[in-house]
Amino acid sequence: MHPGGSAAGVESASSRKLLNVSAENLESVISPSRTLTSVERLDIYARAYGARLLECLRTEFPMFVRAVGEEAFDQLALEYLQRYPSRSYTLNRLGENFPRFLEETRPPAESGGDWPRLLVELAELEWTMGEVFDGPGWEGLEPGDFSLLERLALEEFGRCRLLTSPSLRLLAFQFPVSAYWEQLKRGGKGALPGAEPTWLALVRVDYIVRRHPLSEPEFLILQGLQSGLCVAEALAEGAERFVGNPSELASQIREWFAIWRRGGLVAGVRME
Amino acid sequence: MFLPQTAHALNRNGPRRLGYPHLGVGVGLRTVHFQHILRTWPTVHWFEIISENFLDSHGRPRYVLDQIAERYPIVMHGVSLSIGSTDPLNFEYLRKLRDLARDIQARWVSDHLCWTGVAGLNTHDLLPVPFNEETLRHVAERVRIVQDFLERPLVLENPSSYVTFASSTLSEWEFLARLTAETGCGLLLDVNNVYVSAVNHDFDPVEYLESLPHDRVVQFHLAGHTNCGTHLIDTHDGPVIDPVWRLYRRAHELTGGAATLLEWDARIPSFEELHQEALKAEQWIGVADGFPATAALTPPRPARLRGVPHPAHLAAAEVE
Repeated sequence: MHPGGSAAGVESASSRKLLNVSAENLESVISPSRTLTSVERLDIYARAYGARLLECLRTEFPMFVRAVGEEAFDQLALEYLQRYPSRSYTLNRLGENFPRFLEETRPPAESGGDWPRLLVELAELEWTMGEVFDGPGWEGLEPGDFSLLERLALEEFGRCRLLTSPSLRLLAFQFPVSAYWEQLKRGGKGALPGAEPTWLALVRVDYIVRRHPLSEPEFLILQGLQSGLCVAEALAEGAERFVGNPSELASQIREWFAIWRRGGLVAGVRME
Repeated sequence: MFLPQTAHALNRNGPRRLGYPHLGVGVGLRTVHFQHILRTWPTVHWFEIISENFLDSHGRPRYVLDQIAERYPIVMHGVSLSIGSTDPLNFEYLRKLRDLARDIQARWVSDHLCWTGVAGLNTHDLLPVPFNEETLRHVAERVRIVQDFLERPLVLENPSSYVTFASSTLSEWEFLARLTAETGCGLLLDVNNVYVSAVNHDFDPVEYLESLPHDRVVQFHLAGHTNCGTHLIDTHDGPVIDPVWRLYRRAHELTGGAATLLEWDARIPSFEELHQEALKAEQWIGVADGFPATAALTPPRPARLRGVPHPAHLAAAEVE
């Protein structure tokens, strides 16, 4: 779709390279009807292209639309489609590059705050939610067997590998974007939140995406476990960022583990 | 296991086509109806899915589909095969189609006589092809490849269209007849699309229906459309209008009947309303007399809305 309309699209250099016909002579390719000229007929497809794909993007980024308003979103989305047209057979990947597009085109931070970065993060969050919703999960599989843990000494526990859920996605943000998303979902727009590092786990349980706010050490430990590190190695990843007495980390990890297990973030345990 | 009353519909209303059964009257499976269907298991003869919505799904859409496929016949209807494109066929896509068809025991696999993109880009629209010998050779070759790969006859639908090409030398119905003869593929005859294109391109829809190879019609589509005054758009956003029903009745007479499906993709009503609209098909084909050999088109009524042709389906993520 050309932003200047079908006639401008026909005249564009990229079109002329494929089909060297001017808008004036379009009738030599597309026949007019009794009621419409060739360009008007082509316009039906051009309008539909924009309307259809905008509708899909609005579905994929509903809270982003709420945050910026429909008009601003549509303008952004049309520019996005120009830069990143669909190359997939499925509409499910239409918004794949939208966060990247926003990052590439965002204006510099203002004195009042880096709201463009907040919006990039909001788009990243919504895109990841969609991926978790329809990506691999562990519904229907046997529940993880954690009984092994009860028989292990602490040293042995350190050599275990905890299996994270196939749907688990770990996100680090510069803004409290999950809370902002929730605020928007509840219908409030309010003031934009200020910058504040946050960490979040998304996981799907019973086909619904759940959000789990994390501390930074939790995030790092889970990231280590997800990459295949054993418990001791993953703990080392998070220990540096643990605020508190290092001796408390062992009891803290047990508490976190219980929460991760209940929340479906970890799916089982394996002893090497 | 609970079984809805599907059996009575099978093979009762007409001949098998290309080995495919007559399934009765079905509706398009849409996400807004998932909960209702899982809760009530309504008495519906069959469902048609948009293939692309499930090819890569590992979440709730696929979970729901698997449950529904255990209880109802499913037909796969695609929008991205792009059989008319000059881009190479996407064999990864075809492999996924074949796997899903196997997993849910799809009764057949259909798509459209169209192209959806070129140079690796996808417009997600059903773009028409010029009807001439060159296109026919091109499309026929690709249909044969797809059929060999899927190991079953492909079923192709006539899309609604809004342009015609100066290079066309055949009518749409001549093209479809030649294509089925050369490849053995089946036809999904969308009666609403015939009506929409007939108004847009000023041809006689009854001549279209009468000229098709009737023994190749595996399935009918019905849908509502939007009248924009100067043209019609296939919006799937309302009930079927009477002139389309009359064309459907004529198509039924000519073909001896085939599986029939109602599409409704925007402003989707409750499942009961959708199903009741679909079941009107049985009433229309039950009326045996009074149908003229050439159905007169009623003048189009001006539309209130500008429509978007062709469905755009996405399942919204459920997040807590």
